[in-house]
Amino acid sequence: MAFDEVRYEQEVIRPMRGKHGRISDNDLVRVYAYEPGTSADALQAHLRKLRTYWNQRASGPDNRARVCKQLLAADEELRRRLGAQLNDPAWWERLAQKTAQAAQESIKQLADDLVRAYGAIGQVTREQLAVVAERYPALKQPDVDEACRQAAIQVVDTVELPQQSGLDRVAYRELRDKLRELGALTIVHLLHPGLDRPFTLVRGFSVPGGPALALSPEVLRERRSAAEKEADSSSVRARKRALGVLDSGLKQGADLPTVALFQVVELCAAERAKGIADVLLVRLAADLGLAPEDARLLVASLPTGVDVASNDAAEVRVLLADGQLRAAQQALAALPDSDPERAAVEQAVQRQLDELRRLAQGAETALRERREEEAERLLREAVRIAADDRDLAARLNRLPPPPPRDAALVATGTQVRVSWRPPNTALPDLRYLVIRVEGRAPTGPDDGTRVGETAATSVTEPSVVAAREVHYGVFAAASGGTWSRPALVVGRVVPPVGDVRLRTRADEIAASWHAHPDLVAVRVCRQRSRPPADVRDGLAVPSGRTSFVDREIDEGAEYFYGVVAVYHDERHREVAAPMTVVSASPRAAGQPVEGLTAVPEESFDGGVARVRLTWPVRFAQVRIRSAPELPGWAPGKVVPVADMERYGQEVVGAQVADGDLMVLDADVPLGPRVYVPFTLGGTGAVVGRGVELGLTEPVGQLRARRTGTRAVLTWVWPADVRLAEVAWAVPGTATDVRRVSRAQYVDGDGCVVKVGPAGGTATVRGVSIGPTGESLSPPASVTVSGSAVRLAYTVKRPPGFRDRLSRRRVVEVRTDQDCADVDLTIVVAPGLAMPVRVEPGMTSFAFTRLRFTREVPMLLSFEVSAAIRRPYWIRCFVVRPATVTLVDPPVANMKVA
Amino acid sequence: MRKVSCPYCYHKVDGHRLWYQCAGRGSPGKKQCEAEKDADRARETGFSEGVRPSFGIQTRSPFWPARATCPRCGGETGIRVCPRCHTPVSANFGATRSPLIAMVGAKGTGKTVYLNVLARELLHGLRRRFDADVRLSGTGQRAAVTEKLAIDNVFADLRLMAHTATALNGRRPPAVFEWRREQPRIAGIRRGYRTTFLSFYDTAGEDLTSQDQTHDLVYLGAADALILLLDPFMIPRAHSLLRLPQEAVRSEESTVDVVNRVTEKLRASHGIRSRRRIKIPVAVVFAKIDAYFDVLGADHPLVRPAPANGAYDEAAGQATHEQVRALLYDWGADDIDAHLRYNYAKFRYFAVSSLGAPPDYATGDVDRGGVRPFRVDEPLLWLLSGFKVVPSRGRP
Repeated sequence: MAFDEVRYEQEVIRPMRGKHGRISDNDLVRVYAYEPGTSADALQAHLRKLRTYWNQRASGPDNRARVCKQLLAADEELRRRLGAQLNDPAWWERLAQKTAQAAQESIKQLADDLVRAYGAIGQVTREQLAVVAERYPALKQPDVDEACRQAAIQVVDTVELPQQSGLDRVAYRELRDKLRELGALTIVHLLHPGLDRPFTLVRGFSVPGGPALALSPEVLRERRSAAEKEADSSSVRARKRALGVLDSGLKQGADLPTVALFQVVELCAAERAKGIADVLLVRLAADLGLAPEDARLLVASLPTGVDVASNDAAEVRVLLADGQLRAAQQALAALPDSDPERAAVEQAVQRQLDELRRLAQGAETALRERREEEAERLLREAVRIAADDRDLAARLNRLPPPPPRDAALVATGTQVRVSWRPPNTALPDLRYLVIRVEGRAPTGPDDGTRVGETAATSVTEPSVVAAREVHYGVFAAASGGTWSRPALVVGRVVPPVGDVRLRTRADEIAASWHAHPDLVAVRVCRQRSRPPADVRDGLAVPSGRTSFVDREIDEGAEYFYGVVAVYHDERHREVAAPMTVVSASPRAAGQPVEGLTAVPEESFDGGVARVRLTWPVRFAQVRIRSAPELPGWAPGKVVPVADMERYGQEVVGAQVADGDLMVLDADVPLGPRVYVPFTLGGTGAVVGRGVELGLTEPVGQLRARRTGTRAVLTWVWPADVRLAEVAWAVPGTATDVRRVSRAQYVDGDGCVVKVGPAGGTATVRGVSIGPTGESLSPPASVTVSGSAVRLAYTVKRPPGFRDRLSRRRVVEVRTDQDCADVDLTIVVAPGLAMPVRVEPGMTSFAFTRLRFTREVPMLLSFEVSAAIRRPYWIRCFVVRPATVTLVDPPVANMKVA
Repeated sequence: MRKVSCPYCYHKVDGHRLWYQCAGRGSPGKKQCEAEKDADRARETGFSEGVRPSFGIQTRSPFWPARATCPRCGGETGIRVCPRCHTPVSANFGATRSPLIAMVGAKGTGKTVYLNVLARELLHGLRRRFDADVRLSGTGQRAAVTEKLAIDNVFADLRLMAHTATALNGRRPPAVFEWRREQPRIAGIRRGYRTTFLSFYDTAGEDLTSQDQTHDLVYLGAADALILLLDPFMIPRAHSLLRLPQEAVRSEESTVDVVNRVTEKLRASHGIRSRRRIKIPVAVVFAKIDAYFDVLGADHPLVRPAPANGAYDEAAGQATHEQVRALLYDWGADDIDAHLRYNYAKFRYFAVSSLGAPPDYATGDVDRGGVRPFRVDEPLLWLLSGFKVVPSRGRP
């Protein structure tokens, strides 16, 4: 019998750790590691080794020492009681038999215990079994397994259930609420509404014997998409929200099956915490939809030691953290007094209530002390603690905002503009009310004249009482809230005269202006050549309320007038407005220029041309302006100089007197333009009579190529010219004038004219078309020589049967016009190629000084030598004059093949 | 079966059995086809951008329907493509014979300028003259049409085009025009409309400067007609008549050598034995005739405008032919005429000017007075009258 320390520690020492009480006789065989059949010597040796081991371990530092000490004590007692029997193998054999019988009874007893404890659910976890089996230390693992078999209890391995959902706490709570609102038992039912079969969740989602469903993000998205298409209702909204919470959670890393399992676990754990028996918990899980096996496994795996009190307390804490103080109070009320955490939670709630009270009182105090910003800040803090306190929210909404900041008043003429900056508040949708009171500040939004209510930060009052102290109050309020205290601004508006207009003649200056209705007088002073410093600086000019006329002036001098409006204040004291200064120079009105002429000078360079403008020298101060179109003013109209300068461009150049004329030579743009003279005089410019002149660049490189009776005219088009006027002048006939567009020119391969014997002259001008009409460029001309007199001929056999068979031939010549002194040669040339000229050695027949009459054929007879073999050609040539040409007949007529 | 030449790859294809290109619509349950590189199209035309797949259909009918269903995505499409190169063609293509007109010429003869001016004549002058609907035909790709021609360069900017780059394996997109007009009525009975596709290939002059590269010009083999552009400046005696700047003459090569290389290529590609003449019509066009306006004089028949009415004037064309032949003999270039007579069954001379006035060869600027094409349309009209696309009259 060999003693195995390792095995002994594992099977005997370790199970005895933490156990108290004496070792029973039925446990001796195991404690002494006795094996049946051991001899006496072997038994003694075994006991010696065993005790040695106990002694060695009893002095050790670990918990084996305590066990060994216990065993040594028990051994000492046993030796004292039994004496030598302890070394007798027979005694140990009897003890072993007795122990085996006791084990059978223990197995039965354990089986009974298991049936009582776990028979209802039919399963026990391995951990639970170990705890129960500890009560039967004499039983070995096979005995325990036998007890389970006898009890028909299944031993299962527990699974680790999720402690958290993986969702944000608030989100999970909202999900739970929405499921409750929907009547969905679990998240599984939310995602698979039609599921009517049990499912598993603990080790993964499946529907045993059912369809292949899944808890996946794809399913969630499908459900969301389907929910979006459903008609709107409260339940659909709740479903969409629940699905949305899940979707957001998944995007943040949550696992859908874990969330679903946690929900079931949470429900079951809460019930267990209430002391519900496991069998009922299994039923609860099954009612939630879990398959029986899964339900049992879940209940078996539920964590122990969780009680409802801790969950409710946590709920209160969560509510406090979420700023739901009133809900936390209600949750606290439902917390049983026995809850161990009640005191702590109650304390936390009370702290928040105290803080809320402090903030509310502080806000009241700040409001009384006109510290609206502070009151708003405190109330907002209070709302953050108790967001579910409707009274508190209403108080915040009713809170008047602080008054607007930096109110200012600006008077412009008779208008007053009141502006301000928004108050320092977080209240949304502010609007402002502006109230005006004369002589004192407005006290409330109803105290005074209502100037305007706006969401902007300024209002303009078109007219106010002049020279009076006016107080403006600007009140602010949030939408639906009360008006704030006013932001005050005070001012006194003393408007000057406005829109002063002067009419100047050589002998008088008249002025008029717009005056405020409250104006009582206007004082005018005049200075020569400089502005007056104030109303007493210079000569006083009598004035009415809205105008004056000054005739004591010298023509050509410059006068400055200071115009001051005078008002009465509340005590009828005079109040002077700021002085308005205007100036004028009396001079005679200009006369409209008549007789302007514009003559082009043929110089075109870089898109500009030169023009000479002349007008009578008697007109002084004349400006010439040019534009593509006529001005909108009739001649003689007096227009402000500024308006004149907006018309066209001034023709720049030196104006030189040349006898009775003023001459201006200038470069001007190409194309049709209008030149308008303006005479400066009086208070403006007088429009003169304009002239139109179009300047167009001429065409370049005009050429003509005559072929026969036609000539092709070609030229180079200037860049901006798209149209040309072609005049074809033939002596003795009317000139043919036609317009040729650039596209026609390109398509028609140039411009073709018909050429007669007299020839002709082609003149081409570029044409520019503008708003005032068209202009022609300077002409380009080319002369085309006349076409030659055309003689047409045919080769014939002579008439008559006999001559028809002879080698005689007749050339019949016709002409389109009369001609004389024509020398003709008829060539008979053998060969394939047509003769191109009369050459020595050729067979030829000369006819001289012929005179042709139009349309009268002339017959020229000759005989072809018999020596000439086919093929040969018969062709006529004009020897002279050069102005006559021949038109060949068809090849078949000339060629004898 | 109607065999027509694809204007893009020059292969003879059955005009009634054009393939289809998926429109990318897809169908329920099937994803639409994506654009991907078409190996056939890249091989035949050099076009390597992504396109949707092309497909034919299984039917015994010689006439394939206008629309078909894509076998991959199930979407219906009406886009027709060449069965060989898979280049989209107009819905009108294949119904009638469409001549493929090749244009060749040595370096510096002005082929690109001539093609651009001729294109403008087609789109404007000839369209009006023959009351036809003429338009540039695209390949279904944006900017493909505008890239081919640079008409604005000549007419608006008055600038000559740069030299055309050498073709790589003959893969430069051709200029394809769709010419559509009403068929002549018979006894007042309307005979419908005829659409003809004219495919012009702008050959770089350098492609003809050696025999090997000439052989690479695959399109000559498919050509139904030829416009052979010749430069009179390359004829010594004609050159000596003018005072030309050095830049005006870009090639010192003999004109007859150029013509001979074209002849050899045509014989090789069309399989014509040496004892026979080439059957396709050849318009032999002498360009830059504007340089000779003053030499010939204002009343010379060649400087007169051609008759412009609703038909090709055969008599006037014959007269021009003889006048140019006479000039060739006069300039000592009768070897050209001899070569043409002994190698081509049908050819005609023309004298044209694309610009109407000599440009500044040094700067590339066209005459500032504008572009005035001179008789540029006559060669094309002669060829088209031979194909019965336009009527002709006044046969000699």
